[in-house]
Amino acid sequence: MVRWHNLPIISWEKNCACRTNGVYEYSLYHAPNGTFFTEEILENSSVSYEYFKMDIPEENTVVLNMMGEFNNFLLNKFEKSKQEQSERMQLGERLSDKSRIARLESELEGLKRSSKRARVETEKEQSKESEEKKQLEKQVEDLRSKIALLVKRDEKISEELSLAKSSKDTLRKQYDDQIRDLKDKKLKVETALQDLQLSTRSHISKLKNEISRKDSEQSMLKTTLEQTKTQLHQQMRKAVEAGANRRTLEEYKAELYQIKQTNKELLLQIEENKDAVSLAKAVGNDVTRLPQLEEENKRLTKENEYLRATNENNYLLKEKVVGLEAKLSRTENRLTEMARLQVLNEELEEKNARSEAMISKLTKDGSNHDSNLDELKKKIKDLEEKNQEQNEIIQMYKDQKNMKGDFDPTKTKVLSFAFNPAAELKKKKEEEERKLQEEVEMLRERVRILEEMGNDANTQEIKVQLERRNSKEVDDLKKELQASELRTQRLKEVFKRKIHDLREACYRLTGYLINNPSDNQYNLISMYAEQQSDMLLFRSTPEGEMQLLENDFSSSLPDFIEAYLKQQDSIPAFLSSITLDLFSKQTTMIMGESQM
Amino acid sequence: MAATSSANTITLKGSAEIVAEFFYYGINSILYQRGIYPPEHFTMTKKYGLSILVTTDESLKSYFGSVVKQLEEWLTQKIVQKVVVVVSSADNKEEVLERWQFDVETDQNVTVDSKPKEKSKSDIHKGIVSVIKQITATVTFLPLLEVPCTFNLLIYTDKDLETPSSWEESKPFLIGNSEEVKLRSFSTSIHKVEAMVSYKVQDDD
Repeated sequence: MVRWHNLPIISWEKNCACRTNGVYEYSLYHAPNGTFFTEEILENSSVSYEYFKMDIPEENTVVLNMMGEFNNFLLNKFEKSKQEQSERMQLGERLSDKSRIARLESELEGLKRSSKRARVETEKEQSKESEEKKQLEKQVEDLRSKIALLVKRDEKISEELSLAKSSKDTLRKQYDDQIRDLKDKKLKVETALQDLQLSTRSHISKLKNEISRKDSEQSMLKTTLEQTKTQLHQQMRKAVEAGANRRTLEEYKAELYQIKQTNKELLLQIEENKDAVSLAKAVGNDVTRLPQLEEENKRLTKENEYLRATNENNYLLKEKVVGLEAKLSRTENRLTEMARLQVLNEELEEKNARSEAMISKLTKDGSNHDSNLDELKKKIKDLEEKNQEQNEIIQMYKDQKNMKGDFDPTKTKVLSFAFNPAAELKKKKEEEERKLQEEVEMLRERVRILEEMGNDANTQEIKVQLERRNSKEVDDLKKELQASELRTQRLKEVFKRKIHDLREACYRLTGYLINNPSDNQYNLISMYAEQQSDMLLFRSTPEGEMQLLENDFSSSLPDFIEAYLKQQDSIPAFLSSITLDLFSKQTTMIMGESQM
Repeated sequence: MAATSSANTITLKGSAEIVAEFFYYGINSILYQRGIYPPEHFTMTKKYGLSILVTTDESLKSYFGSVVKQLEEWLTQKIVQKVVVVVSSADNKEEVLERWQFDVETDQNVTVDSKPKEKSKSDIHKGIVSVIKQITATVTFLPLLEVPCTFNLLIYTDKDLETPSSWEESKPFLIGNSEEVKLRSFSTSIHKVEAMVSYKVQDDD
């Protein structure tokens, strides 16, 4: 069951939860229509309490009604505790109401007091406001008067403005005029400027022309200078000539003086002659001398004429001298200038001379070599061509050599990784070869052992033998073998000698020479045998017995064989009897011979 | 960005790496084409857009590992003049039958720190492909190698290089009576590689 509580508790969320016996839980929710509802939640219940949270109460009710039975059961079970709780709640509510009334009364009192205070304050404010109003009215009055003043001032200002406008118009007119004037002026100035520019341009061109003229003049002057220089040279030459002339002139003067002197003398002589002539005439004695004198006279007059001519010549020369002197002074002036130039010239000449000397030397050398030079040049050309060809060939060879892998050992070295396939292969092959060699050696040894051991050989023993016969042992054995061979050799020699001695001794002692032509056969020749073929042949049987073999000689001895071999079975007796027989035969023969 | 810039420029280190790699594939091609090792010792691999056969022999692989690494270092030091593959008979005569020579020219102005040069990788690869294709084509004119052969790699370096411990100075293994054929070349703009082959002329008797 749900009951609606109209408690003045305001909250958006579940803000009050009253627990009873820890089983029920009452929750207050604020519904959208502004009311509150309580929900009951049963702990450990499978009923979802979300139903109670539904916003619309009607729906809630429907749900809740559906659960009526269940709730009734709950109510019955907890009725008592609920009644107690409601009583307690009522008591609490009453107490809280009382306290709230008291609180409200005190608040009312406070409010009354505050309203009284408010009233007094409003009255005060009213009086203040009325005063302020009066003051504002006054201010309004002041402002009005100020406005009137301002209106007046405005009027005045507008008048001034109109005045100013008129003055401005006039001023504008003036300025316009001025601007026009200035423009005119500017135009004038520009034209003037253009004129000026034109004039300056022409002036510049003129100046340029002048400069070019000056340049040409300068060049002309230079040429004239050159000319004058050449003239100067000429003049110098002339000056030198003039100097010479002067000297001759002096000579001439001296001559002239002499001539004058002689002339005077001659004149005096003439006078004298004249006197003499007059005297002669007077005397008339010396008529013979007259033609002589006349001749002399003629000569003298001639001389006189010549002198006169020379005199005239002299005058001419004098004039010339004056001219030359003037020239000379000019020349001298030039000479001083020249001296300076000459110093310079000398220096230059010196240099020139030196270089000329060098040039001459060089040209001399050059001319000597010129003929050779051409030849050499030709040769050089030929050689160069050949060189080129050779170079090309060399380059070709170089390229080829490079391609073959040749290199310059001063700049390059060839490296290869130590463990390269070729080296590895070589090493492997060498190793294999060594192994094969060893194996061959071993097999050879094996064969030798097999041969030595014959049928008894078996692998185990061969191995043992092989192991035994390591190289050192073999060497030792070889040495030993050699020693033993030597020893054998010695022994053989000794034996030979001994055998020889023994046979000799046997022969001497028994009278038989025993030969052993083959194994088991013995030939016996008696010391007293009548002939070399008389020999006895014996053969030893494997049992160690000796058997007499039949031959021509033995068959001639049937008695001895019968007596000693067959009956007595004694070879020594047989042999001895033969010895005795042969011996007796020989001695009787010797005796018979000696008897005869 | 870095990828595109590095695709069109090249440094000394990058160039040395490319050239050393070329030698690895180029020499493998020679070994296969000339039958120095049996074909079953090779496996197909894709490189430069070609199918190139490279060795599967472990000892040879480790040999290439050491040599190519050293070669790359020397290429960076700019001291390699030539790289030569010497093909000689595997019998006791050890006769030199072919010499594959690669002249290496290095731009000595370039250093490890200098600005990368303009050259696209695809251009370099084009050059390398033409050289390797020509190596394959040489089979048509080179005399048949009738005896089992082995090879060695020679590197011509500057004289003043100190020889590393696992390397030794070698004779140049020249061929007395040889003919030479110039092959194509390629350049990374830092290293230029000129290929050529010289081979023993067959006696007429």
